[in-house]
Amino acid sequence: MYGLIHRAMREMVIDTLGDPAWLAIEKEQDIGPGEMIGQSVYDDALTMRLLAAVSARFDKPMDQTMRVFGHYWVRFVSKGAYAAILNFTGNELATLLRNLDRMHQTVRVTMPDAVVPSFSVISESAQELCVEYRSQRSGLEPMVVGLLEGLVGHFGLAGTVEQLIHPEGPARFRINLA
Amino acid sequence: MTIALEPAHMNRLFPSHMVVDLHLTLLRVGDGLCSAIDGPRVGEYLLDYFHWSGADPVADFARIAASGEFLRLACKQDRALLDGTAVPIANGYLLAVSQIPAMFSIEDGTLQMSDFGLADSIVAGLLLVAMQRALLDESSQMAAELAAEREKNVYVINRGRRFAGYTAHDFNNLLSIIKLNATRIEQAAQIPDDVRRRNGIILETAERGSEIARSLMTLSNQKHDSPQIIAVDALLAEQRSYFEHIAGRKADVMLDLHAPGVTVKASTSGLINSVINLVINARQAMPDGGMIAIGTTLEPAAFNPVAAAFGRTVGNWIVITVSDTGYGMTEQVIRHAFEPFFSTKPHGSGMGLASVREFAREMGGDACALSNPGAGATIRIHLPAIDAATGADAASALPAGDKPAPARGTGISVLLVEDEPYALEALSEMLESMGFVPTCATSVEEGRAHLESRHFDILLTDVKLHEASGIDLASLAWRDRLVDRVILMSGYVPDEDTLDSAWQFVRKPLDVESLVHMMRANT
Repeated sequence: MYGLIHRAMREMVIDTLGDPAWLAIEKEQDIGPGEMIGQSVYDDALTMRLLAAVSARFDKPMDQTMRVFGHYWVRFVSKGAYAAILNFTGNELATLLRNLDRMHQTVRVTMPDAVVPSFSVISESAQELCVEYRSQRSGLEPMVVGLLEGLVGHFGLAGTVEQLIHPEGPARFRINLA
Repeated sequence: MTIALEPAHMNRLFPSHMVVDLHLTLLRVGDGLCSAIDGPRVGEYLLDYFHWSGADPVADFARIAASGEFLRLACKQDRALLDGTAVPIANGYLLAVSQIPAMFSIEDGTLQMSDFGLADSIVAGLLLVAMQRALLDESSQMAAELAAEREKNVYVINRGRRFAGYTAHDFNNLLSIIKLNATRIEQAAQIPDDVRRRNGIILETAERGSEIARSLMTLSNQKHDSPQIIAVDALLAEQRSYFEHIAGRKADVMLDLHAPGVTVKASTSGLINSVINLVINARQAMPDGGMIAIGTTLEPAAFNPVAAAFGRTVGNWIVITVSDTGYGMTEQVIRHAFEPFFSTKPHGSGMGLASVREFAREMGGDACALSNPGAGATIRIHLPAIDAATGADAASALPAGDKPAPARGTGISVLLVEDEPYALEALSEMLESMGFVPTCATSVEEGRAHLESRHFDILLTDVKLHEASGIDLASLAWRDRLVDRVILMSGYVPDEDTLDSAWQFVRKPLDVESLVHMMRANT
């Protein structure tokens, strides 16, 4: 995955547990600034190793940590230089979700090795949004739940996110807006 | 071929499209245009909102629609531009236009991806520019992180060096006592052979101990680069772009250099690192941006407070300042700002200002802070200016003609200052046995009292004494001509800048023969 994910993970750990916790992860995983270059693409195995180390520090199962990270990711990109990109992509939830693929296509122009997910809004009403998620990676669905929850909060909305049972096709999520 | 497009399709392909009749009255306005420009409404005249230079707009639009010419509409209210063409339709024209952002930037939040058509390549362009800016921001942040990391490492290394130095010093003091007393035993007229043999073992082992102490000293003196003569203004000007990078995009960096050609003797990397540290601090003190001014001035020693504190009234001092327009510091923060590990930032290492002061002091100067809450801060690094040709610090050298002439002959009087009683006793006895006339003192205070009562040929003093420095005593004795010669002894090599060039230095553990040779030479 691209290094921006690692930077966000580092910031999450430092914000939550303090500098020493991240320094311990760096030491334990033998990583440093070279693994924190935002627009470099790293082996997924490294990212998952870091996620596992963060889970251990948080003393939470991986799926819970991924969900928390999904929330944090939205916070991370909604500030600093990436905020402009997020705001440009959409100023309300459904528009942003519809435009995510287009934004990701540009990410791929700058990082040809990046493997980016695809999101599509398959149904929309005032009360709920149904989103389909496709990815070459597997097992990241808990992070998508956190990410969608984070976006609901980012737009000042209240609601819940659930993964729908959809064994035959790509993962689907329902955002229930209060 | 005729293609029918519903308004919804038009909104996806050309969100800023418009439909006008043959007289240019608006019949429909695309969704994207409504959010981008405040104005165009159905029923109104198109050119109430857009500039048009042609004398007959109706004819102009008819020509464009017939030929498929390029059409540009410039908004009257802001700098928005719409580019495209006019397509003839029944009783009017479809203006198939796309927005061209006036500023190729999405940072002000006025543009939305949905304002552009699905096939509009401007979207990718805008995103690429935004990603490039994000990358630059990240590079700048990483440069600051790496600089801070390097400083932290340098600080830890320096701490290790100091620890090695202090350990070597104490070890050498103990070895000195052992060697002096073993030498006394060796010089005794009648001692049994087995005692002489065992004494030899003690001396030999003490010598091996000295080797270990020397290794520690070598470790303690390791430096990344040696002090060299630096033209400060030129060095700072050379590094300008790096400082700007460290400062980030929100802060402007201004160089205000008023010491052209003035040189100091200092470590180049130390000086650059110090300024980098201060720029990082300034940037962090101005999260919303501001101005960072890096300046130099030349001050006569007589008017420089740091020079005055060092008792130097001759020569010039250069003052390097780094100022910001940030939130400033309270008096209480200023009092602790230079302490290691003190930081007001949530994740601050507290090393930055501490290492700046350490650098300045190692180079014979000092650093201080001036600030008021809300009014920014200025950090000043004071360093003695030197003569670039000779490398001499004009403030410390005594004229050669003022140096006292050495006395000659036996019965040389020695004021011996050493706070280790066993070492003092052994050295005193040995000097006495070799024809010197030692007077013993165990402290600077006691030594000063002896100096006030009489003149000595030689002041032989330890450097690191419990309550004060032997260098202070030597400076006093030398300045007031109370001794003819000064010999310093220490297990720790003192900073050359603190020594007068006429003084001599002997390393502990003492080699008695070399010491006596030194004391007899030129006396």
